[in-house]
Amino acid sequence: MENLSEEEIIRIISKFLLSSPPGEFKEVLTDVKSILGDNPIVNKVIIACLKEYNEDQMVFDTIEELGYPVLVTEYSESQENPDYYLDPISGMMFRFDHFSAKFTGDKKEGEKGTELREVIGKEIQKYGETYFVEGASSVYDDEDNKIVICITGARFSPSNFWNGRWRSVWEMNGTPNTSTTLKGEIKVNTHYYEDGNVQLTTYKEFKADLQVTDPQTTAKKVVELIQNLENQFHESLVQNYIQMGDTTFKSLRKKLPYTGTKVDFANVLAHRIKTEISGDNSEKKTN
Amino acid sequence: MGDDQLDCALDLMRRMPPTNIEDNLAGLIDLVPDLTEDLLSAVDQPLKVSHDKEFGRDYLLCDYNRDGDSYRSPWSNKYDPKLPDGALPSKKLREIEVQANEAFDVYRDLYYEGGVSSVYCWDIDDGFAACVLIKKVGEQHEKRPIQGVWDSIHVVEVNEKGKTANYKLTSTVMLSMTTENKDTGSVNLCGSLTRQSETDFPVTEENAHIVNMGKIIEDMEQKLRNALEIIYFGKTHDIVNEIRAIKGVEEAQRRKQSQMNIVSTIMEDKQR
Repeated sequence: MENLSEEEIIRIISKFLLSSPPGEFKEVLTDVKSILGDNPIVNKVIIACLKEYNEDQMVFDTIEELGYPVLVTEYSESQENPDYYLDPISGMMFRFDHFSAKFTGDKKEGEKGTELREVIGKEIQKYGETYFVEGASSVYDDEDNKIVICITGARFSPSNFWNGRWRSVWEMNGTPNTSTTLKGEIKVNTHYYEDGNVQLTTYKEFKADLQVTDPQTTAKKVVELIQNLENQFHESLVQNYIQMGDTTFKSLRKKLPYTGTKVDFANVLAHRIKTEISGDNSEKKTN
Repeated sequence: MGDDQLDCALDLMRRMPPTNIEDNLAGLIDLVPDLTEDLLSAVDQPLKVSHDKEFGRDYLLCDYNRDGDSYRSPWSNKYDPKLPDGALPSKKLREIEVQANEAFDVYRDLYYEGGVSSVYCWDIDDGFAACVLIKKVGEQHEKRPIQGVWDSIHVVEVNEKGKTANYKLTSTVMLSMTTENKDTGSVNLCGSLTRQSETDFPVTEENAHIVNMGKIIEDMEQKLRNALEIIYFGKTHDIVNEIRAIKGVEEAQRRKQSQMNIVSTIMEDKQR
């Protein structure tokens, strides 16, 4: 390590930290700390990485006085007050402690946004509760009528060696009486790690055209579109699983040889000589 | 401290994306160069294929046929790039290695119908060790848009004890499946599973080591194949459906409840 510049060390450990599977940042951090020992560079990197990781993963925590979870995202952080994240339903901003992954209780006045934002928020919450066992959603807007819809669902089961997260972000322009394009992306990550390390990583982008009319009608239309697109994607993923298992996997390695029996190793060398004489030279296939 | 460091480095590798093993391993080695040898032998990497020009056959590269920057071919027993004093198995062990390569080539052909295999042996106190490698890259075409890659890495430690020998096997299968299509976008299902076993076998017959190693590796690959099937296409799929209920949370709960009702009805019937 003596030969590494500080920049190189930062690059390597931030890559490790930001690659943490859902719900495993702390475990990865423990490993990195123990690998590097007492190194002041680590502490510098952690703070920056933790924030980026939490916003990218769209982690959430329930605020007691509200009784519902609030999301931590790059779209909802206050520009003037770092680490304060907007809850557009209450119009309040709450301070998030990235280390403990909890809101601290400190708060400031924020914005509630437009009526369209509010009704999409209500509709998307119904959608989230219908499909995600543990999750949260939120809708943000800005002065240019840009609307961002964030949905996240996560399940952590470290005692059974698995964790996973579903994230989706949808964006549109909410200017009344215009046509807009709803753009979105879905990311799914799962990690299974009992006697191994198996990870699923998916990424898909979406686009759909839409007319912005009155808030009620528009919100219903938007959320119906999102629900349909997310359902179609989920169905396709299920189909892909079936195809991977039924065709790709089976063509890689057979359960049994075509002979229907296990390999007779005592006579396998004789078998090779026989097939070579009979001209069925398997080598030609492989090279 | 050194052991702790290695344990943590290995734990880290079990959490990092399996698609970036080489990069992550290189990063770790940059951070702790003292652990280079330990990490290279403990972390399995996707197998690379090289070509033996003299024999016109492909062979696989791993840490066990590496000496410096050169790799030994199991067919010609020569290093590439040339290495005059590169480590070689003893004459007796080379005979076993040659036979093992022939035997596992047949095995590979029967189970994989394609791919490349290589066996490397090296001498240890009271016996020898062998590493059996198989790589298969699935064909990709219109009807099968999913790319699949299978890497088997079996390391056997053989301790000879007169008429019997003890075989310690550590096996890893790395399996990656990549889909890129308009319905699912990009889907990457990647990773590895590792299992171990230990058995004593008689070594009185001719070719006993080949037969015994063949048997335990065949059994282990069977077990790993079953486990991979369950975990890749069952478990990780279930996790996705645990996060998002495809027919809605209520429907999922209703189904779970009715399954439980069926179970309890059967149990009550049994008790009567």
